[in-house]
Amino acid sequence: MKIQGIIHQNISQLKWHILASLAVIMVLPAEEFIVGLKDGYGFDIGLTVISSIIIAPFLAGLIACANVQADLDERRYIFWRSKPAGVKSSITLKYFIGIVLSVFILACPIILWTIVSLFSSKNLFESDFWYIIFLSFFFVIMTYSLCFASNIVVRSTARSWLIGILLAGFVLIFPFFLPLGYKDYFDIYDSGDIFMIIVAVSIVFAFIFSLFAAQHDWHLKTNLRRLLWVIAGLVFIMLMLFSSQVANIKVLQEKEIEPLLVMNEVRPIGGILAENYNVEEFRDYLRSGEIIRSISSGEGEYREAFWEINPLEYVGDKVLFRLRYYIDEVDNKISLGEFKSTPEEILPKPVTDINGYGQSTFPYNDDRFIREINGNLYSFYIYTYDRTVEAEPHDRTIYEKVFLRSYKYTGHSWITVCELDISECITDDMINNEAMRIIGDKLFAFIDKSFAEVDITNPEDLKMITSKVNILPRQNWYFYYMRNKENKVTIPLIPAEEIDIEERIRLSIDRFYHSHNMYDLSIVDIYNKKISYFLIDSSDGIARYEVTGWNQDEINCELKSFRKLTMLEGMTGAKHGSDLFVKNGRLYYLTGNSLMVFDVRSDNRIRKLGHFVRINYEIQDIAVLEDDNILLCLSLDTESASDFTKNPKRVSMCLLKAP
Amino acid sequence: MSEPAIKIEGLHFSYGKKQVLKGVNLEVPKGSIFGFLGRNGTGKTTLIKTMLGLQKPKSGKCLVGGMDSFTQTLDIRKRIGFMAEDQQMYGWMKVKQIIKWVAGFYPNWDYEFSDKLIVKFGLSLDAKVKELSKGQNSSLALLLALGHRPDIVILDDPTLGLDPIARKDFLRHVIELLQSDGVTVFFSSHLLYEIEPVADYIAILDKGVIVKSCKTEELRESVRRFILTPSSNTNFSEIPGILDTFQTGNTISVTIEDCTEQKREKIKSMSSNGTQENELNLDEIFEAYVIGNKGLESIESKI
Amino acid sequence: MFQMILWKEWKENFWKLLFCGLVSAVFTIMLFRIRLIPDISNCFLISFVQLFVVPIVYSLDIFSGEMSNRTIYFLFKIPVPRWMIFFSKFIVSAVSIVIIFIISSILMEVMSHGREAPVFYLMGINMLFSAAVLLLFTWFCLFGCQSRSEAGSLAILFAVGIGWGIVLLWSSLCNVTWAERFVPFSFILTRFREIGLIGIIFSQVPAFLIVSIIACYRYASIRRYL
Repeated sequence: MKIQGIIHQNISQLKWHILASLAVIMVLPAEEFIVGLKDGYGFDIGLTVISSIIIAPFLAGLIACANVQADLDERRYIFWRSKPAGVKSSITLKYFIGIVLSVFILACPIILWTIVSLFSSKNLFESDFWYIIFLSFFFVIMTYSLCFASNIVVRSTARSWLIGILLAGFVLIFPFFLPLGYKDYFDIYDSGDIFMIIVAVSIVFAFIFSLFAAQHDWHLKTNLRRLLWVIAGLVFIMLMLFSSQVANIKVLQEKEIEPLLVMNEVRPIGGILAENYNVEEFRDYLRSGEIIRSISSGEGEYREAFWEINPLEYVGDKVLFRLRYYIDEVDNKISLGEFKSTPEEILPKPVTDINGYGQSTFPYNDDRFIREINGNLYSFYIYTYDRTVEAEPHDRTIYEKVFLRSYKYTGHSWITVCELDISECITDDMINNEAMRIIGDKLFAFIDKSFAEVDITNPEDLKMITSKVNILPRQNWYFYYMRNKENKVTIPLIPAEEIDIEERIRLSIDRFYHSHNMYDLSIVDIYNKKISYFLIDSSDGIARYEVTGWNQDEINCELKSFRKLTMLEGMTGAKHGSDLFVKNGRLYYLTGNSLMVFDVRSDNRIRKLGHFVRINYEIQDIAVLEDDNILLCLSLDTESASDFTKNPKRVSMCLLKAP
Repeated sequence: MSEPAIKIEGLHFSYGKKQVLKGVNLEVPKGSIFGFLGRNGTGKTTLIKTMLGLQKPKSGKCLVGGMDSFTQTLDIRKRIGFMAEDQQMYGWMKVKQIIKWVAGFYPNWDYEFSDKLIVKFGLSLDAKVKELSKGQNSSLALLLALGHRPDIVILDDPTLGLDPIARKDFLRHVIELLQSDGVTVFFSSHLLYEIEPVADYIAILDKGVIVKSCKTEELRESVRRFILTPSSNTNFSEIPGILDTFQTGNTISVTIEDCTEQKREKIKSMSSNGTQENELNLDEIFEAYVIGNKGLESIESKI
Repeated sequence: MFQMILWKEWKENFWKLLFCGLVSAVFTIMLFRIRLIPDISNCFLISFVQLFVVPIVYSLDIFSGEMSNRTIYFLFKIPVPRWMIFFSKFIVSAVSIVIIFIISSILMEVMSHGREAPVFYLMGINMLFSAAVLLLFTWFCLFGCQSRSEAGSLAILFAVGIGWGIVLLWSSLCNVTWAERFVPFSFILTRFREIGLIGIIFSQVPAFLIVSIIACYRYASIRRYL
C-alpha cells in the first residue's frame, strides 16, 4: 500500500470541498481584515473569528461526509474493496487525513487572527480566548468523527451530515442525562474534565465504530421518510430526558387573584410636581413603584387609579398578603389565613403635617416595613420634610426635618405610637436617599451620608443610641451593578461596634450597593465563615465577591467568580428592572418576567438551579417561604400587550416548588 | 414515398464543452421497425432525449411526426409512446392507480386495449409498482407507452437489465403488438441479436455521427469480407469504403461496405492467389463499423 | 390534467405534512404542558423549530427526489408542460406549509388559552414565521429546482438562508429599509413593526410572486436534467 498515493487521491477528491469550506470560513475575517487595513484602524478580527469557530464544526462534518462518500458510495465500494488494501488501515488513513484537513480549515482564520494581532501588537494571552479555541478544535474533531461514523453507516451525504450534527448536539447535552446532578449549563464547562472525557470518548467510540462498520460493511438502506420519523422519535425521547434534568421550576399552584384597584395620587420623587407634567413619564414612575395613595387632592396633584404592585410582605418568617391575610402553605397549596385589616387602613397617616413642606416617606408607600415585637405588629417609617428655595442656577431643595415613626397595629387600624426626631442626620448637601434595617433590637436608619442607630426594644418608646453624621460615602444609584469590573473592591465598614461583625459587614455591603429593599432582603451570603456577595454585571452576568479581610474602616473584597448568562437566559427580561437577593444560600435573580435561582454555596461557583419565565407577564412581587418554595405575584403586562388586546389587568399568584 | 416519421437534420448537441452529437442526419420511414445501434456513451440516449424535446439541440432540426421536437414538445409527447431504459415508475402507486393516472393525460387512451394488455402481461391490478419484478415492471412500462395507441413508439434500450427469457418475452410482445398496426417503432439497443430479427431498418451511431443507415437486408448484402494474400500491387487506398483490415500471418482480411462487382474485381486483382469472400452477420458488421481500423497504413508499410 | 399532477404530488408529499404537523403539535403540547425549556419564550422556540424543520423536510427531496428515484424520465415524457410539473410541486408544498402553520397556530392558541399571552399573540407570531418559511421555500425553489441530490438541496437551502441573513444584517446595520422589506426574516424580527403590515404585504407579496414565476420559468427552461 502506497500511502502517498492514497493521501494524494483523498485530498484531490476533496479539493472542491476544501476550497468551498475555506471560502465560507474565511469570508468574514478576510473582509474584516481588508476593511481594517483600508480604514487603518482596528485590525481586531476577534469577533469574526468567533463566527468562524461556530461554523467550523459544520464544515468539518461536511468534509467527513464527502470524504467517506467519495469511496464508500454504493458504486465505488466494490471497486475499492476489491483492491488489496486492508479496510482498517485505509479507513484509519482516511479518517486522519480528514481530521488534518478540517483542523486546517479551522486553523486558517485563527492563524490570520494571530498574524493580525501581532501587527497590531495586542496581547493575545490576556483573554481566555485561547481556551475557547482549544475547545473549538476539540468540537471540530468530535463533529468530524461523528459525521464520519454516520456516513459509513448511512452512505448518503445529506442524511449522514444531518445525523452527525444531531449526534454532536446529543453529545453536548449528554452530561445532563448522567446522574451527576447537572442543572446549569455552566456546570459542564466549569467541571471541564468530565465534559472533555465525554467528548473524547465519543471521538474514540466513533472512530472504532466506523472501523468495525466499514470492515463488516454495515450499512443502512435509508429511506428519507423513515429516517426522518426515526430521528424525530429519538429527538422526542431525548427532549423528554432533557426536560426532566434541566433546571425548570415547577409550578405547584396557580391562583388567579382579584386585582386590587386603588385610587392613587401620584407624585414624583421629592414631592414637587413639575409644571406641564407628562402623564406618560408618570407611567414610568408608576412602574418603578413610586406610588402614593391619595390623601387629599390638592392643586397640581394627580389622581390615578392603579393596581397594587407589591402585595407580599415579610413579617419575620411569615409572609403577609396585602396585609390582610397570612399565607399558609399546606401540602404545596397556599391558603390565606385571616389577618384582619382593611385596605384603607394599611398606610398610617402622618402625625404632623407641616404646611408648605414637601413630604416623602421611606419605605415608599406601597412597601412596608413590618416587624412583630412582643406579640404586636409594628411598622416603621422615615419621614422627610423639605422645601424648595429659589436659587441660581437651579432651585434647591432643602431638607428641614427627618422623623422616624413607629406604628402599631391595633387589630383594626394602624396608630402612630412614637415619633423620633433624627434631623441631626441632615447634611447641607443631602439628597433624598434612605435605607433601613433592623438587627436584633436595633434599627439602623440611613439618611444619605449619615446614619442613626435606634433602640427599638420598645417600639412605643424609640430611643436614639447614636448618630453618625456625614461619615459614609454617598450611595451608588446603580443598584447591585458591578462597576468597571473591578477585581478588588474596598467597602467602608459602618462604625456600629455593638453588633456582630458578620452582621455589620452584611449591613455595610448592602448599604454600599444601596439595596432599596435592604430592610427585607440582602445580597450577602454568610456561610462557613465565608462572606460573599453578588452583583449583576451590565454585560449580562452575575459576579460573586468574597470578603478577604477587614480592618476598622474598610472591608476588602475580591472578585471570585463570574457566571455569564447564556444567550437564551439573556433574552428574557429587561435588565433595568432586575432584582437580586440571597436567601438560605440561594441567589434569586429577577428580570422583568423571569426568575432564576442559583445555588451559591456548593463550591465557589454560581450554578443555576432553576428558571421560570412567563411571557408578557411581569413579576410584581416575590416572597421566599420557609421551605424555600417561592411565591410569585404575576400580573399581565398590559403595556406591552396593549397592541394585541385590551384585556383587563390579570393578577395571579404562583407557588413554585423550590428548585 | 410519404413523409418520414422521424426526420433529423444536422443535429448538434453538447454537454458543456463535450460534444456528444456532431451533426446527426436520420430518417425513419413510416411504419418501419427501426433499429438504432450504438455502443454505450455514443449518444443514443442523448439523441432520443432530443427527439422527445427534453433537451434543446445546439443546432439542427429534429422533426417527429412532422412536428418540431423542441417547440411542439407536448403535441409530440401525446402522439408518441416512449419507454426509457431501465424505466422507474412511482413505486408507491398501485398498478391500477398508475394506469389511471397516466391515462388521464391522454385524451385518446384506449381502455379496452390496456385492459387486454393487463391480462396478457399477467399484471395484478392491486400490486404496488415497487413490488413488481423487473420483467413485470418493463411490461407495465410498455403498457403505459402503448395505451394511447401512438403511431410512433420510441423504445430506449427497453430490455436493459432483463434476463434472457424476460427479454425474449418482451420482444415477442413488442413484435406482436406493433408490427401489424403499421406503427413506427424506433428501437435503440446495443445488443444486435436482439434487433436483428425484428428491425426493418438499421442505423449505427458512432462517436456522435450516424455511420450507416439503411435497410437491414441491404446492410447484410452489401458488407463483405475478403481474405487475401497480399501481392506487390496491393494498395487499399484505391478502394473506397474499407471498414476494417486485419492481418494474420501473411493473409489479410478486408471488410468493405457497398460491395459492388467493381470493387470485388479490384480486390481480386490485388491478391496473389485469389480471394475468399465471406458474408457477415450483423454483429460482425456492427463491429466493423464501430471499431474497424478503416484500412490501416501500418499494414501497407509492412508489405 | 393539472389535477392529476396535483394528486400525485399530494400523495407523494403527504407524509411530510403528517411529519411536520405531528412534530410541531407534539412540540407545542410538550412546551406548554411540561415547560420543556424555560430559557426562552415558548412560542418563539416552537416557531424556530418549525423554521428549521419544515423547510429542510420539504426541500430535501422535492426536486432531487425524482432524480434519485430516477422517475423524472417517466414524469417528463408525460404530455404536460414542465412549468405545470414545477407548479404542482410548488403549490402542494406551499399549501402544506400553510396548513402546518395554521394547525400549529390554532394549537398554540388553544394551548395558551389566553393565559400565557394575550389572545392571538402567539398565533400572530407563528403566522409571521410561516410567511417567512414560505418565502424561504420559494427562494429555495428558484435556485434548488435543478439540484440533483439531497446534499445539493440542503446546501442551496442553507445558502439561501444565510444569504438572506447577510442581506438582513446589512440592511438593518446600514438602515436600508427598502431592502429589509424583501427579506423574509424581517418578519420575525421586531423591525416589521417599523415597516408596517401594509408595507410588508405590498413588498413581500409581489416579491413572492415574482420569485415563484422566475423559478417556474427556470424549471421549464433547464436543459440538463437527465
